[in-house]
Amino acid sequence: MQYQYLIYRALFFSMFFALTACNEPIENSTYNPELLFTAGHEIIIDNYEYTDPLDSNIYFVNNDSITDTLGSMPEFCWLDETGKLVTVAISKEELLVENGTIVNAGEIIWQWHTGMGSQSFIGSIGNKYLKVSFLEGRNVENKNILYQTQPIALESGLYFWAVWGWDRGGKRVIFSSRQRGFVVK
Amino acid sequence: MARKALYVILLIMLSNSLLCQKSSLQVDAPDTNYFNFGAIDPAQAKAFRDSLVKEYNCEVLTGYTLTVFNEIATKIPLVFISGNGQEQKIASDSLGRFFILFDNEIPSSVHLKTSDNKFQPYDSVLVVAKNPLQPLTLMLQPRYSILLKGRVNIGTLPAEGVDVEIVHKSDTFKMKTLSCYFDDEEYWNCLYLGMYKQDIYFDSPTDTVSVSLSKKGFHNHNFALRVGEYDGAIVYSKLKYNTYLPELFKSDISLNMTLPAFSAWMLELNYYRGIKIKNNSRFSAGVSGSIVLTTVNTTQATFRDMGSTNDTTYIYAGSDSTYLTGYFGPTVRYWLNNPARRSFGVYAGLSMPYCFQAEKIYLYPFLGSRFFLDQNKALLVELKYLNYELNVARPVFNPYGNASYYYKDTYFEKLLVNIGLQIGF
Repeated sequence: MQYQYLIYRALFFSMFFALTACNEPIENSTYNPELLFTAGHEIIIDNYEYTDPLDSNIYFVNNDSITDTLGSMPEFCWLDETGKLVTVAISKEELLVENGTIVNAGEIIWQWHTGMGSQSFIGSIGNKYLKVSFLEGRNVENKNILYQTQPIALESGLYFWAVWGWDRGGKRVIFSSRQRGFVVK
Repeated sequence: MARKALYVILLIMLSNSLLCQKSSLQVDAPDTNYFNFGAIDPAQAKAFRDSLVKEYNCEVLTGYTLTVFNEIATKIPLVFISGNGQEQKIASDSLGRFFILFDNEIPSSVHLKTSDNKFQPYDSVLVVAKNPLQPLTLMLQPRYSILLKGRVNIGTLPAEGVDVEIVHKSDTFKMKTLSCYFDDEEYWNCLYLGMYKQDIYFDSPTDTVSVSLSKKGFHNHNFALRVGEYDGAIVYSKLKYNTYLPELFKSDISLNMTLPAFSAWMLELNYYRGIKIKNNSRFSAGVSGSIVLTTVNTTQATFRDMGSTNDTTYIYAGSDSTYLTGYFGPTVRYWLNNPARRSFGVYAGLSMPYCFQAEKIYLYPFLGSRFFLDQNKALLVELKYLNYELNVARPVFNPYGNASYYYKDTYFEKLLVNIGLQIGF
């Protein structure tokens, strides 16, 4: 009788597994509404300074919500905890993300990604930072990266920049910075 | 023990009272000349007789069973042979006391004998000392004895229910090895699991005791020992399995899983019922339910690689996705050699499971072998061929967010090695 009970139980569980099995990949996510991609781990942008290659002035990027004033060829730097695939973009308007993708990607005028090369350095407390100069990226027109031409310096105005990165398979954006505004005078 | 002793006394008193006629007897007064014999307190012996006289109101002759070492021998069965040759069975109680009731006068001698296995045979006519009346004393000669103890193992575990036959001269003792039990304190006691014991009484230390152990499905195990050489330690014996099962079980259930080295992992639960076709009992049919976890690696082109001189070189990103599919359906199995063979059974079969995701029936052939761990539990090693389709999600890289997907039916062929545990019943 005990064996029969075990058999019925085992058959029930095997049926349950078979019926409930599905062939969708398993995903997990976090949520942070302050990031450009809310379902991602934050890319930290610390205070840093850079020398603009056009006017040779030193500009400061501050880790706060106040709009920075930068040169027309700004440099971008963030804590390198992202994966292999990461990109940074400058847009004329604040970028909007819906359903895990930027819906107004046409506003992007400059972009850099990991295929373009970058410099990394170790910070004072041992953190590894990734630094991208304006000249390492390329201008973008209607979502097309102009790989063949050198980037043109930014004109005066308000711009926004943000960094985001993908998982190892390039499927999901799992790293994202906050979107930062800056003014070029 | 006290209660049992009381029951014995009451039983003896009841049987003797039928022979007893009531008469008035003069009770002997305590006498300093009353007998004085080592292990027996004269006052208690007198009190014992007095109580019997008062109870039965007839002539009573009391006695004690003692050993030659002046120890009380308890619960010795005795036979009293009266003057006319009539035999009357009596027994000493837990204090070694016995009594005989007489309707008339107590005779000057009584004939008593005993054949208790623990003592040398005793058959003697005893003279009754009447002035004053003193109890009889039967001096018994103890025989040598050993308490033979043994434990039977199957593998490393004690085996209960093993038939044990101990033969000593003309005596044959049969018993089974002990199981676990609830003891007096309601604890589940397995201290004596698989053990047996037997008192052996003998006259010569060179006597031989032979022990025979037998259990269904195992080779018989026999051994013998000389009683004089037995040191009182537990005799350990080990039963070995027979080459073949004593009987083939009708059904079996097995749980199989794939070894971790393979790119797919299968968990399978099977139930088989033997089908006897004429005299061939090698066919089995049943049902099988399984899940298969398949790991699929997908690679996609992402950003252009500017470091390369080739314009069409991209950074490729790959990742694994796991797909779970479920199957359920009939299965048949055929044993290529005698399925009752314990050591190595070989079988082949075919599963026809329905896949709930693909909504198709597949044919999965398999070839396996079985090694029994005991009488009904066995280890399975099985080679199984799988072919199935998965609707694999292929990603398309999106530089502005999460990738989009398109789905493509992809065909897989897998040859898996599964290991499993089978239970027959």
